[in-house]
Amino acid sequence: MVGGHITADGFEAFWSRERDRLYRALALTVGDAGLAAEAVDEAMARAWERWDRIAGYEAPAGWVYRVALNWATARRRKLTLRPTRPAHELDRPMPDQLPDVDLAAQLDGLPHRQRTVVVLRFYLQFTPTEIARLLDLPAGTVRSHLHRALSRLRDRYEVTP
Amino acid sequence: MTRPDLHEDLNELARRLPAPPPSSLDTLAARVRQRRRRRAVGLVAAVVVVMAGVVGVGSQWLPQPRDPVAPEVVDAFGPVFAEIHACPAGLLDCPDVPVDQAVEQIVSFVDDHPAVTVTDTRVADGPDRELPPEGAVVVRIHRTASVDQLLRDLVALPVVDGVTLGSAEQTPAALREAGPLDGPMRGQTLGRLTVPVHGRDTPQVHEIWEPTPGEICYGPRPGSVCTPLTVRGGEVSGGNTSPHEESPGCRSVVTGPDVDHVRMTARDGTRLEVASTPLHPELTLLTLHVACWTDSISGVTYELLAPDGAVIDESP
Repeated sequence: MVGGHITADGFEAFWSRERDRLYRALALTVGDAGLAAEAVDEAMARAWERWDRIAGYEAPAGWVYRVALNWATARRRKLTLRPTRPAHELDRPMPDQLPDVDLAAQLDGLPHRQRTVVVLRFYLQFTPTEIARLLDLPAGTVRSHLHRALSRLRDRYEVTP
Repeated sequence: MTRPDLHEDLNELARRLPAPPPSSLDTLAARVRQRRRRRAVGLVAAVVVVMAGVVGVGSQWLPQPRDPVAPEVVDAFGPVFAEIHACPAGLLDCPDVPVDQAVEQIVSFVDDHPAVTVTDTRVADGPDRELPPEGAVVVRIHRTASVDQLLRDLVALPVVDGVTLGSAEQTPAALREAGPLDGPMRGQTLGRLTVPVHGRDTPQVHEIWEPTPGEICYGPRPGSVCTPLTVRGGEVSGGNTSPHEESPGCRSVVTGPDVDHVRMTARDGTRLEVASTPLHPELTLLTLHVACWTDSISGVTYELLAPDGAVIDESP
């Protein structure tokens, strides 16, 4: 970006490729499709402003996801401390139309951090090391969160962290 | 029977979500421009505040960079506009007063003040359905006598969420277009922390301020030795969970917003739990936790706790 003009060199392809995927990942994490859409657009705007730098990051999509997640969290903190809406109450088809109501409920039951690492690992498919870098957590802590999350889901899935 | 695959199931769950609202690079560019405008207004406000410190006569202006406005600023910059944001019911720490009534209370509070003129009021829906309605009163500050005290009184009102200042160039229309601001002037009271002091009944008051744009200082004032955190683009150098000592006897921890509170433990086993405080409006990633001990802090450790009390992380 130079002066008042906004250029999209390189950013447009990233935006068109990642916006929808990051929105869905964030909606699964925060349990609120509207908030997720707003947060991802805000994070994308921030990424565009700094695209020269962020394009060089190892995982620009991870940066956007994290900024969006933090933005959504901060937004929520400004409100009365209402609980995260369960995933099965998202603005989407009725629960009985969902492919897997049980999974939505199980996801809801996970603590926020565990839900975040599960979405990052199994939806966005980052490695535990990448997640650790993304969330500024020790890799061992990420594995611990994954382990605890999967323990809760273990009767249903056989997965390797 | 084949067990279901978590990746596939999450994909399917995500696929069934409603599509995000349509967007384009044009709408995103508009958002970028709006962010720039907000920053510009914030910078103007910061300049106003810095000028208040630089050119202000009398020591009353100097110790507190966040003082609202000095007479010399109006002389130098022309009229100053202030947008007073209502604190609507539903927002954290706001009274249970509907936003339109909050706006009326603000108007009645400032209406008779000789130094200001109410130029605009507005009440509108929040930017999304999760947020309560917004309200604001825009005033033109055309004389400065006692305005400082007026603004101080205003931000102390329960129905006021914060005050944003703009120079003559920032007309009420421009302020309105920029919307509620998260710039450095938003919420004067956000610039102060009430810090528990272990072993004392009286808490210590710390302030958060920007010595220069992009740097954050905090600590008891006056006399605090400022060790700025460098802020660039919403990020703070040093990253999360970095212990940071800004004044003798105190230990602060900067964390991400997932942390609800911090439990600090001295060597003798005494504990102090500190709730989160937003560090800076631009720093949506971060919150600040500060506690002081009346004696040495060496050996103080901390644990970062989630809202349910689970330990998220702990000091090395």
